[in-house]
Amino acid sequence: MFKEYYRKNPVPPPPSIERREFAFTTFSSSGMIRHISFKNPEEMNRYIIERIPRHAYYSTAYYSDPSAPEMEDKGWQGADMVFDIDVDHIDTPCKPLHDTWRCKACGAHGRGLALKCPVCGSESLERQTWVCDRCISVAREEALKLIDILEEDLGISRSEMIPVFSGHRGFHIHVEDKALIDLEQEARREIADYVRGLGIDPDLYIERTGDLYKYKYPSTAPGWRGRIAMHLALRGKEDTPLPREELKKLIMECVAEARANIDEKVTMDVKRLIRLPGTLHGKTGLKVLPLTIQQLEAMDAASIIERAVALPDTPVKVEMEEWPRRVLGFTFSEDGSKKTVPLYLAVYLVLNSPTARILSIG
Amino acid sequence: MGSEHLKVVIGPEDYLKYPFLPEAIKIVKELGLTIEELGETPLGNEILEQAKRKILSVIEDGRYPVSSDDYRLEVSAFATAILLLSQVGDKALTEKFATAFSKSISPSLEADSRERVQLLFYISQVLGWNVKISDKIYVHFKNYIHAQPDFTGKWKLVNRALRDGYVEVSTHELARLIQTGVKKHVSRLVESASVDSSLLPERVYAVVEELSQSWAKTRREVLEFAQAGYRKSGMDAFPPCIKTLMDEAKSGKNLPHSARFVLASFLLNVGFTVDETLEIFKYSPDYREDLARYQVEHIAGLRGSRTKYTPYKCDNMRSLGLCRWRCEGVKHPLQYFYRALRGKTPRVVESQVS
Repeated sequence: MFKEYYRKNPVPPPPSIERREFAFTTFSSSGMIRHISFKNPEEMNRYIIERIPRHAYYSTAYYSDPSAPEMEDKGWQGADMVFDIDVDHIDTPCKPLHDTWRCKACGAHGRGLALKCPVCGSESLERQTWVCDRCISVAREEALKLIDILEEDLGISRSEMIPVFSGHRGFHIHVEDKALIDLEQEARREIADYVRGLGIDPDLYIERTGDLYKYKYPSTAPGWRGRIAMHLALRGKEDTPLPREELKKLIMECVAEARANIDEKVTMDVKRLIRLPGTLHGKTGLKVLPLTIQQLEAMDAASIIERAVALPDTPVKVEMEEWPRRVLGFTFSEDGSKKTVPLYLAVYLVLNSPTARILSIG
Repeated sequence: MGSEHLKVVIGPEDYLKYPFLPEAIKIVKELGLTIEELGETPLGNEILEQAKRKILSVIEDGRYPVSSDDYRLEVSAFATAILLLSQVGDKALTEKFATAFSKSISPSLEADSRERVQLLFYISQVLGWNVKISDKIYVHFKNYIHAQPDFTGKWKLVNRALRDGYVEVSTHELARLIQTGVKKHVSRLVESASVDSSLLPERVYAVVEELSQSWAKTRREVLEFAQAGYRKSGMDAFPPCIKTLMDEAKSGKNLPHSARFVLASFLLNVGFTVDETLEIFKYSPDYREDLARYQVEHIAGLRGSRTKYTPYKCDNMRSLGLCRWRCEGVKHPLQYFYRALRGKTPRVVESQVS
């Protein structure tokens, strides 16, 4: 089915394709094929149609010799800046509906997001996670906050930011600003900290007024100064004198609302592999979907998922041990282990759950 | 930028203060001095001697001395020091030299920020920065983060007035940013200096040798000092982040890759052998001797790029969620260790997680 898709939908090349490293996993073996490079888009698409990758990645970095097997020999020339928003790291209200975990140490199990076993404390958990429109809706909100910060504060133009639905639980925002490709890891960390609001020292934002303290800046002030003021205003607290610790706590709450919840490791890494837009995600069968910022703003989560559906919707009968109560845009009751679903969903169920089986098609 | 801000007259005193300026370097070129002459003519010898003394002073007490009031001699000695450093080819020494040099120009920058701010704008242009001036000074965030002297408090980008890509700074802050910018500029000068070492006269080559040996000896002494310190005080001199990672590793917690890297590179830098370092990781639930050894040897600089790694700076530790403390005056975990060994254990505050 992936083959059919790739025949009909050539994958658009990333900018400067000849300076990128590509990496793939296949359906037949478990390892990753790395250090692949292509001279042109045709070569890349021929490879993809021949190999039918399960997952496809390319380097955010530009190299003089992208196919060199040792990283030191690749000749790093710079890298796009990429921001990763993934609800794996964010506790969304829908997680109890579709995520489960089982502790490998003590056998306890439950629903929702668990970082470690609440029974025995072990961090060795087996997780079964699903994506639904509500997850994507949360991720989309984070992406919009991020884009706003990048545009308003860092002055990055909207045409140089490409939001990509990852095909799974979030978005990648690719920044293709040529002036920023030579930034070192250190500099990228500072930018990641900036959009996350990490390192805000609330003492710098307040001043004494009588026995109490008030917020120093108006909502028109540049950067976080104004952003915090706006969130204080939303709470009706912009001019309210408060005890120092109370005001500081309030400021940090505003920061927590306004920050973009990104995975900083992706932004800091100058030699990262990232999913290739236009390919299929091997865990969901959904398309890794590049969008414009205007589209991201105009579309809701359900329509983003709809557009990312790449496989047919032929009805299919599927059997499965434990159905998620919500997955993509579908709601299921837990009773009955056989259900009829569209083919694209059946593919997702089978790719992601060891107990799912397709019984009949059509 | 308005053109009136560009009008800056620079003269010999400026070359003496800022020998890295293109005009200064041009004057050395105009003197027509060649590398061959460095070891041969009396003037060449004088320059070589002064350049050597500058670097030795950096190795011995971390200070860059201005040794002459003749700007031609001073600029030539600076340029020659760059050449010598490129031949020694040790990144850590280059870094130390660049740091010492940039510190030495700090009072001049400070004075010029008060009296001749246009000179500061000019230097920022030499550094290739994008700086805008209206009634205030604005530095593009890319240049700002490149030269930030500190990554906490008022210097941290997140606490700055940043709009449309530009950070507002005071003249005093611009001077401070330039100091760090110059440090990186000098390191780059060393990296990009390319001289065929077979062309070096015997006497220059001898100086390169002498400097390399002096530097190796200092580094050895530092490591021995660290080893002796660890034998004496054990983990007492470790910063809280490393102590925590040690405890977690020993209790068999499955540490993320970044944490293992930090722990291994720290231990190797305070004199642990590869085997001693591996001991710590044996409790890890997924420990595999062959893989772990490979990775630790890589970090120790015995494999791959042959770079010996140091742990992340405190700021990066914070970003990666490996640090939740503030250690007064400390920017790097190893800095804490050396201070503690000298009996000046930094004050530690556990900060709230934001």
